[in-house]
Amino acid sequence: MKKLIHKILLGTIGILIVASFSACEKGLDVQPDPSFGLDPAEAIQSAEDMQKLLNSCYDACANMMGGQFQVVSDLLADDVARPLNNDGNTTAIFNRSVAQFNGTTNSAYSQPYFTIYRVNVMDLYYDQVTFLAGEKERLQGEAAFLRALCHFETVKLWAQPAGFTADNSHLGIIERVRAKNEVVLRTSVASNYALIIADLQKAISLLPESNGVYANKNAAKALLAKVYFTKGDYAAALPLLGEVISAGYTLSDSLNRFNRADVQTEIIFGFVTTNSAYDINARGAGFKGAYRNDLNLPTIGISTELYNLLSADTTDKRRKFAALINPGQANEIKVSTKFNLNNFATPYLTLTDMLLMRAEISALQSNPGSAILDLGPIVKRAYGETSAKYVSLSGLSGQALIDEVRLQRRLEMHLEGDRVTQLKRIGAFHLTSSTIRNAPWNCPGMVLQFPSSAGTVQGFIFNPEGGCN
Amino acid sequence: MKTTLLTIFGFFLTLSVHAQSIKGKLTDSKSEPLIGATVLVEGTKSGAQTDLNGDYVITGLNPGKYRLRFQYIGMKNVFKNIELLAGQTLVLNVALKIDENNLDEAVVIGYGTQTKREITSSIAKISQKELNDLPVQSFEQALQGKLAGVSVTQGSGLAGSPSIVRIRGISSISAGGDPLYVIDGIPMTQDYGSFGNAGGANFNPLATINPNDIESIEVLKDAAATAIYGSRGANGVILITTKRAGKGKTRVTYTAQMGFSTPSAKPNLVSRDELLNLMEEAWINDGNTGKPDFNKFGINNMTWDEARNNNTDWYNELTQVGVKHQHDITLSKGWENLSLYSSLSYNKNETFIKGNSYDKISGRINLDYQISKKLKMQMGTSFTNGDNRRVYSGWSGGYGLVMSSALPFYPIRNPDGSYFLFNNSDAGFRTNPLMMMEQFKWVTNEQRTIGNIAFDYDITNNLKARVQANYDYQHISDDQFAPQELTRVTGSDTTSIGTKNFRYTNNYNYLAQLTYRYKINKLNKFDIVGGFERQQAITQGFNIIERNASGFVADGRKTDNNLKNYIVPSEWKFERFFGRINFNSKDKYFLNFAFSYDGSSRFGDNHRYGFFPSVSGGWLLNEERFLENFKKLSLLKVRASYGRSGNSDFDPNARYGFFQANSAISYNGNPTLYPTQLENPNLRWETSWTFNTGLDFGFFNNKISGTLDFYDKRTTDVIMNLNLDPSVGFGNYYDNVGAIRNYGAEFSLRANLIRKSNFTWSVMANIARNFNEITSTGAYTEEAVSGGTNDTRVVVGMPVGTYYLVRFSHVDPATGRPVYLDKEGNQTTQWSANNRVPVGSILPKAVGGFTNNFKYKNWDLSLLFVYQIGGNIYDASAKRQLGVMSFWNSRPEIGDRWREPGDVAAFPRLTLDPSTYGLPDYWQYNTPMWLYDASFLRLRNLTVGYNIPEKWAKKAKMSSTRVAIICTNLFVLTNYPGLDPEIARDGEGNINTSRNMQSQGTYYLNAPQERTYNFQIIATF
Repeated sequence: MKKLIHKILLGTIGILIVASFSACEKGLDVQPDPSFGLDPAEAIQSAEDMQKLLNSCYDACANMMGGQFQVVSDLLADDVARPLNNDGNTTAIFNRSVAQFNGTTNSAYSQPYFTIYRVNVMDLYYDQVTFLAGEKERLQGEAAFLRALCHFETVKLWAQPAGFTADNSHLGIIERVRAKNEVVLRTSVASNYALIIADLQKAISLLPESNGVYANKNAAKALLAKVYFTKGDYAAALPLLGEVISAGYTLSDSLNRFNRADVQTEIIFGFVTTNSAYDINARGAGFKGAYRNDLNLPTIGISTELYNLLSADTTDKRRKFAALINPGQANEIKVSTKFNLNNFATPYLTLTDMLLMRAEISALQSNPGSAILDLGPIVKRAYGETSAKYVSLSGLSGQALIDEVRLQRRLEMHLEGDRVTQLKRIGAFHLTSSTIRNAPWNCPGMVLQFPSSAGTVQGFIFNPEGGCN
Repeated sequence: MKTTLLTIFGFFLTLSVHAQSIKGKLTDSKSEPLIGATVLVEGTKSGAQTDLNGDYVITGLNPGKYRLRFQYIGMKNVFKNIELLAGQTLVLNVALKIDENNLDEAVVIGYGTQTKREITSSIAKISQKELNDLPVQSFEQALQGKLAGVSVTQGSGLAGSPSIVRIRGISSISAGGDPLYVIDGIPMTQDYGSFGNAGGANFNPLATINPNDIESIEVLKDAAATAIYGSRGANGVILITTKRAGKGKTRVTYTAQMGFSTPSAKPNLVSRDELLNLMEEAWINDGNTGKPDFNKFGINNMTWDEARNNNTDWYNELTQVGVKHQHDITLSKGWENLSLYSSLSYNKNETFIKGNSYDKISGRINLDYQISKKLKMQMGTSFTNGDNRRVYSGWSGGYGLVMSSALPFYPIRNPDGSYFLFNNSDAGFRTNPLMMMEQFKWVTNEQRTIGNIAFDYDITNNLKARVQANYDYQHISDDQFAPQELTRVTGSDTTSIGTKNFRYTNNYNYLAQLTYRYKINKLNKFDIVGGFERQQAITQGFNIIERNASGFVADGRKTDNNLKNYIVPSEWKFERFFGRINFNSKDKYFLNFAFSYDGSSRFGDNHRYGFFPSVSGGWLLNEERFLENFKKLSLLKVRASYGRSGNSDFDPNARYGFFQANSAISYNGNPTLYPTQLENPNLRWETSWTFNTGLDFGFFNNKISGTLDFYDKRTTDVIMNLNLDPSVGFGNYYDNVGAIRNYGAEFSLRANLIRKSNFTWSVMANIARNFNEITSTGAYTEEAVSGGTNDTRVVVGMPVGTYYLVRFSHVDPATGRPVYLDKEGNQTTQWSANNRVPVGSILPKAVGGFTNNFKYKNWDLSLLFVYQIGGNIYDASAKRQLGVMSFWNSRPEIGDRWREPGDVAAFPRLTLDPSTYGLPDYWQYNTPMWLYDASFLRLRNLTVGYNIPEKWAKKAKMSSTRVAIICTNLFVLTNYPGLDPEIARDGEGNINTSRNMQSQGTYYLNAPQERTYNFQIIATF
């Protein structure tokens, strides 16, 4: 028995020694469980995979523009009231005192760069995948459109606006054009806009005229027009606006472009909602979480100023959006019912917006006839053809007309994140003394602070803070 | 004729050989027989070993004068000069005494043992006696204050709370900072973050080891000692050796312990009326009139007028006097070829928090079998079953709410008997803690078995082989149940919910090892050890969520695949070749070379293997002739070592990049594919090069002895889970970035100050001073890694875990507003994160402990003090308790506040508006106002014991009996105004970016340690 044990033991030692010499790198390979995900080297194999990657760009972009960016924008301006839930992050935005540790703005800041990274990943695979005719160009065009959209929405919030300095040499945001973990520092706003414009011009050249619910040539033109308008380059915006406005879109009868149950004919580009559980939860989540008030109290109500504007004219059909909770009581809350929807659409570029842009340019360029032509249909839809407002429109000119266009923009697009962009543009190009809720349009706190993690790399420059109160 | 004469001579010679002998018994000082002790006749080849009764016989000696040496490991050698007469049977009984600093004592090192004399590296040892002198839930707690350079920060008073163990500072940021634990040769899997920090607490895998089963613990501190553990040795190695039976009669020991648990401190909060006055003052300061509107404070379920109707003492409602008892029984028995050690332990451990307890039952069997002269088998197996009844605490609620949002004017219940719901504006502070405690059921069950089998085979006298196979299985089942009444309140659901989180880890390793001992000549010899080891561990599990449950998820539901949501398995493999050469010349010059060649699946493809060498040497100076005249010097040994070790304790999947194909996340109904993790094929272990030099000394026959060590450890390729610039497109990324230096000195002293027959007094003391500095963060700034409650950063030139805060200057006497300092030191009333600077550190300057042991006749008294000098505590809860008024309770310090112009005060005017303090919001009131000196001196243990006289014990058929009263944490001296200066906060384990920057020193609503009073009885049969 003992001899047998000796033999077994010696055999074991021998086997172990042999095993030790046979130890090799392969023996240490542990493939992560498939549920972790796919190996990057094998993830993109076909045009179909590229399409899926692009779908994820749309999804990430839809999350960002489903209210997250718009709510942050409006908190800086004058259409909303102090947040009702006493939340430190949103209150800090409202107070224009965003610091490096604001969870709401930090979360928002990372969103556009998810899309940008994925778009840049696509660049790595265009030459490695076989496409059908025109497919590659379409993908490249959509990707360029989305990258431009993301950079554009980011520079509006994390940098002073175009026009803050004469040559836009002031600090803008980080431009990401490669899918690489490398140090990239902030460049100027001029550089940011140049990249955005270049991407959109590329998109215009590559995108098809028609592309279903995805970005098409008109969407790229509309966004480029909006970019030019925001940077005060009205001359460049006008022809693009002309092309898009004449492209066949018509104003919707519905006054609420966010209501998917209504027929929407004026959306040039928007983020799609389907009836899937994912979409019902995810799309428009930012809007609903902040403003919806038919099921629970909202976390953010509207300002008295906006409430009064919305409800001032009894002929204005948009006054239906203005509502009161606990009317007449000490805890009265003014709200907008615009987002009390189950069936949610997320428009991004609309004919209304295009018409209002061109109307304002025309009014600014002392061309009231053209301005009224563009403004008229919007006023008519809101107040009715026989309303005093619509009837008196033709008599407007000069600053009164400019003010009317801007008022209609505010009412039409309230809580869509547009207001602060317009107020900053007006401050930068037209009325340098203008204020936003009693703060100079260009006070440091009107620009969001970057997350502390942005300062991980040497040389990163944070925005100045405060100075608005 | 010649042959005849020789035969006759031989006959008489034989007669004379057998005609005289020496025999006797060797015992210890208590007259217990010493088994296997050696008796040598110097200058001859004669000698003997004692048998099971301690008896020996030496024959074959010629009549004459001899010098006999009696020796036994751990005992002082005894020499006797005798004269053996022809035909005499000399009876010589000898009692050996314990050697206080025995150079021939065996010390366990990696893959072998050495004598204390031969040790050339920095190794500290703690014996079973020192380990079991105070009641602990887990053995590592007992190391506190006893070993120089081993810092143990005790966990909170929660059952199962883990301690933070650091050896010679911290040399990692995002990789684990814990030493490698090896029990009987088995590298243990040990992850505090198995369940994140649910409930404000981590889980302690070390608690499954019964401290009573441990024979000794060796702590390997420098690279010469740890290099043989290669890429896992950089944080030090703790070798745990469990008890084994020797030869001899059956010995049964029963230990019983009963005690009580109370908190070591009680929260100091303002009364109901004081709080209401503070709220009213803030209301008026902000320009309001009339009665304060509670809604503006974030209190939405009560009016100002209703507040004075209630006065609840939430602390009393949630605490209790916890009852503890523990019973251990061990049996050891040795036969000729077989020895057996077995133990059984039961531990019921309630804490001072209601509903919180840890019940544990464990057992162990260790078997040694000498199969033949050349072959020996060792086997050991243990099993533990622990039930931890858990409660919410800290940031997650429960006891934490007592110090935050459970306000004294909130009632426990409404008049209709239903629970009062807080409805504070912040959802995290809404749950009535008593409702949670009474309705939420939560048990974490851990089962663990650790087993090994080893065969030692003597191929030749000098060449020995060992094969060993080990298995460590850990199974954790976490069950929670929330009834509908509770889920409705917490807002997460509308049905009752039962959840089961189940994890199990299989950890295997095997080892083949050859040891060769070669004696060059009488004076010079060397040992060579070489071997191969392979280890593999995989953690798997699943979660079950059962709605409309009536209680915990039934065990039967575990087989229902529709309910199970499998967690992603985590697996790693590891293999290594190791070797060591020890050279010993004249028993006073020693040289050691060791290496490990490690490969790990954790490392990127470009860095699969690493080489970790070390060299060390020692010189026993007191055995040199030139020190012969220094009679008072009984030991002087110098040591020096230099070597490389590594740390590879990080997420095994960190090096991979991943894409996720997800049909659930779609756009326009179409599937998506997107990157989720950046890959880093270059990820590798951290590397530490350590230089160590040390001195072991003893005076007056080692009545005073000690050790002094200096070390310098330089770590490069430090692993950081970097906060990426969000514009990269990802949040975090593991990379080898930067460097850290730890250098310092350790000193330990042991003195037998009085040694009389009836009275003894001995003192043990140690201190370790460590300097820690981040010397590089590569291309990154201090924002690369954040820790604490987002208060610490990695700052070059400063220690790991540096507090990075906006400095507070003073309260403006004119306005009552706080005045801060910007980066340049200019005063400003605006708080800005841009103005943060380093202001303190979580790391202490020095730690240590001292023990006084007194013995008078049968009585003994032991006092263990532990201390920390320097370091800071950041009390992240103070910024709410003493900051902007809201729905939090306040502390009495707020009395020193600004009330009117001209006031010079510590705290600014009360307000509800963060902008009054220049803050973006009330959470960001991060200033050194809440930073405190963490120095403390704690009476960790006081034991009064009585050994019942042997004659009485024997009457009861016991060989010895001892009774003792043991008290822990009786007092602590500190300037810290909070509950407990020792803080081992919960952390997210592998999830958090800063594993080593968050736990120690940062306080947020944690429970203090417990103070216990225990009665102990130990009976040996």
